[in-house]
Amino acid sequence: MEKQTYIRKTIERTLTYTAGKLASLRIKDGVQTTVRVYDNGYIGVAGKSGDVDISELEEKAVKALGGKTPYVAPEKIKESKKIDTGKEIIKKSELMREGEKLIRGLSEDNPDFIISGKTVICDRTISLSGGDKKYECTGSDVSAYFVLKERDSASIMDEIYEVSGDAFEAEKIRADVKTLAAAYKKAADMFEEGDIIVIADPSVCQYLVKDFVAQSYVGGSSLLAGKLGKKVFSDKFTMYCDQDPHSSAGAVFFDGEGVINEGYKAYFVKDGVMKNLLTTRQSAAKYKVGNCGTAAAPFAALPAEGMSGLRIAATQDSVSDILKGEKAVFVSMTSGGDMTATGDVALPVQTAYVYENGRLAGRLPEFTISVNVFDMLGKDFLGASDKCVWTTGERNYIVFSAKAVNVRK
Amino acid sequence: MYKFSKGLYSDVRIEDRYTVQIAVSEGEVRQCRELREKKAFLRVYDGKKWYYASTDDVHRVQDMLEELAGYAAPEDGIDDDPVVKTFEVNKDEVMRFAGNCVADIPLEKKTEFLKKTAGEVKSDYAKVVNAGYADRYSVYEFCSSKGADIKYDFQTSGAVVSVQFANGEEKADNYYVKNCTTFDELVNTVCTEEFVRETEDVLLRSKKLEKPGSYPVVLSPSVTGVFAHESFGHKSEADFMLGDEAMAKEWQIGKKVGSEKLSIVDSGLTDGGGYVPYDDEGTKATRTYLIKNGVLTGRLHSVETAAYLGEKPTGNARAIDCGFEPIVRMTSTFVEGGTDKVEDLFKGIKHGYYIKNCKHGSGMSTFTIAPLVSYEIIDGKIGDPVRIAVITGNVFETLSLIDGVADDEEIESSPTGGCGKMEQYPLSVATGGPHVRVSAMNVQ
Repeated sequence: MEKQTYIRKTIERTLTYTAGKLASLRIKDGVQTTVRVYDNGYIGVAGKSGDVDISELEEKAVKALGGKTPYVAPEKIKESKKIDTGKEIIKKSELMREGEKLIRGLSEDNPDFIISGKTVICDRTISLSGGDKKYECTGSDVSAYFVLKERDSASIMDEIYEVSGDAFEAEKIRADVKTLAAAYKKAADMFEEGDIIVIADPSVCQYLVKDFVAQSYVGGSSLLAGKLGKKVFSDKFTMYCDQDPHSSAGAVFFDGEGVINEGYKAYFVKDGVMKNLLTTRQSAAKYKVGNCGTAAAPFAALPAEGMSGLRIAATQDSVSDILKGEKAVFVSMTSGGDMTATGDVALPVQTAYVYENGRLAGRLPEFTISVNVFDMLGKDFLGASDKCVWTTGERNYIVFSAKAVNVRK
Repeated sequence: MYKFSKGLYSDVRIEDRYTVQIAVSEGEVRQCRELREKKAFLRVYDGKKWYYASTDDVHRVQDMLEELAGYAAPEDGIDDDPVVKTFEVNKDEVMRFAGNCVADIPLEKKTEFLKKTAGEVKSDYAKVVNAGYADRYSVYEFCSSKGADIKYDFQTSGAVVSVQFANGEEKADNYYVKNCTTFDELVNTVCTEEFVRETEDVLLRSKKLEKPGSYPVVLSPSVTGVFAHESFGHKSEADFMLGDEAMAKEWQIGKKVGSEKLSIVDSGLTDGGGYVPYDDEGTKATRTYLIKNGVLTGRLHSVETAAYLGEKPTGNARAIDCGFEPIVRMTSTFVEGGTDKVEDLFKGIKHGYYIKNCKHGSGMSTFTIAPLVSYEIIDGKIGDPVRIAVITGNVFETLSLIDGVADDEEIESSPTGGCGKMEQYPLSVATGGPHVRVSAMNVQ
């Protein structure tokens, strides 16, 4: 019988800002322990929050083997490994003072807007042990969002600024929010339905995620069926999960089953070629495909397919390098959006700006982006940048051609 | 009983939650989680700020209350604070499900039910069939420094079947959902036969949307529910009015906001995923008309928002679990049934679309619904299935364009999904309504 123990410890502090004021502090510390036992082709799992008696959990997990849930045995951890990138992002004693200062500054900088939001600071240690060996990854990250609402607007929210990374750079956040608010206030020239160049968050690639799932792929229902190992997208398009804690705040260098990828990167598309399917060790074995090594480890449950830390590899340093002087549309806030079973994407855009000469040059009316996903990431994919207009955080952007339709007059 | 610090308002919410999640595919169990957790969420308020803590060790509640009090600045007149004065002091026990509790049903029985349900999906085109079962039994306890003392339970038991059908290059995804309050009710009502035939029809006969544009649209009860929740429900959550005088003026009660045929209700008293007899700060559930006959009639409140606007709390302060503070959320939100007959809604439509089922929706000034199953309406009759990525519209324009409300109101919820608001997802809610006709929506 093999055994794995997955432990997630978090120390989290959250500040909430309401209408330009610090409204609350939340303290949340926790430990979640999951024990998995593997025997004779089956798995049993048990989990508990807080203080645990490991032998009691093991007993429950062994009992759960009786459910006859098929699962391949885990790879043995050959050598213990530990990466610690944790740091004190803000002294806990100064957290509320820093939060008050930031929200006051944001409100003073942007008097035409009511600003609300959150800052979450988290220190976490994730470990996976099997036998007498253990992987352990400790890190710290901060994420924040600020909702901007014009004082005379009838909308719930008019804009949102989001940032995440391993540093709380209050002055840079203030500068970014000021840039965004100024652009929001300035109306751009009207534009017509037709071809545009779009700068968007890589999350627009989310619609394709289900098509990478091994079960859909092998079953034939995936849009990507039959394309593994083949050139599907633009040479410039590379999609991977970044599991390197040194380059990505919150990343864990091993997956939920203890797989470590070369260079801490799991590639799904490399230079336009489909490289991997989305698997767990069990689904990879069942469907006889390679294991991508990105499994999630949900609390008290079996490993599951995961794509944590999904990134699009940068082709150029900045968006301006990709555009080479051309005007584009920077998409800031979308509302829903989806893809049909034939790959046609419709993405209603709530706020967008003309992007010209490296800056946001004015707000556009609402419209919808219409594009086929294979074109968006294929012939119409222009590149991905490391930087755009923001001065802090880890966000990058993709640039592609599409059609603007349903432009609101 | 806890010892609460003087000069502060404090409350403690404890949830003892039992959950099961099972996933079955290709006749095998792919996921199985049975979990019992007891957690507490504590709040301390000093008249200026809130201090919260979450713990999975309920024996630490007293210590943590004292820790939180250490952050706060006690105020002698805290009882006169408008927020503190607005808190209800309810003492009650509402235990409805203890005698028919999902925690008492063996895991094996739930697994067998799910395998049988998945096995009933029979089609030559079915490439992927995933079935999920989820249940939850929660016992909530709430007490406050004002003397509130409440205990109640909540239960759901549901199944979801999601399928991916393919016929060569043609694909079709669809899902079936059934959520009940007891396992027996679920077992006796699940039936996927019509759903399978519908998915085959979508696969084999779907046309590409020929010309995106503005068309009359009929929404099914489930899609009407998503529309009500996304287009107007979120705008009724009064927390967005805090500190915003312009919004309070803009959203004055009595303002005309939609068609006279339209009434939207939120009620924590309705059985199902949105059943909340007391919210997470001890306010008793209410039935709140958000819109009545096209007129803005009410909004959803926590104690804080009610105190700010000088209105009464509505029992809508909710958290997804004891890891989070309650914020203003919906419960069961639905368009109230009208007087039109369903078939009459289709009459008179020369060319439009019928949205039967959808994947998701979202909404701010513009709402978006992503359909899964849609049909053309030609000369008043339902025609071929058609592939539509999204339907969208400006919320207020669309509310005014509702020109038909049928009398076939239905309410449903999901055992696995729910509503998301900022960091808190998924919150168990219910949505619904009757068939509704909108004279013009953007179809893409």
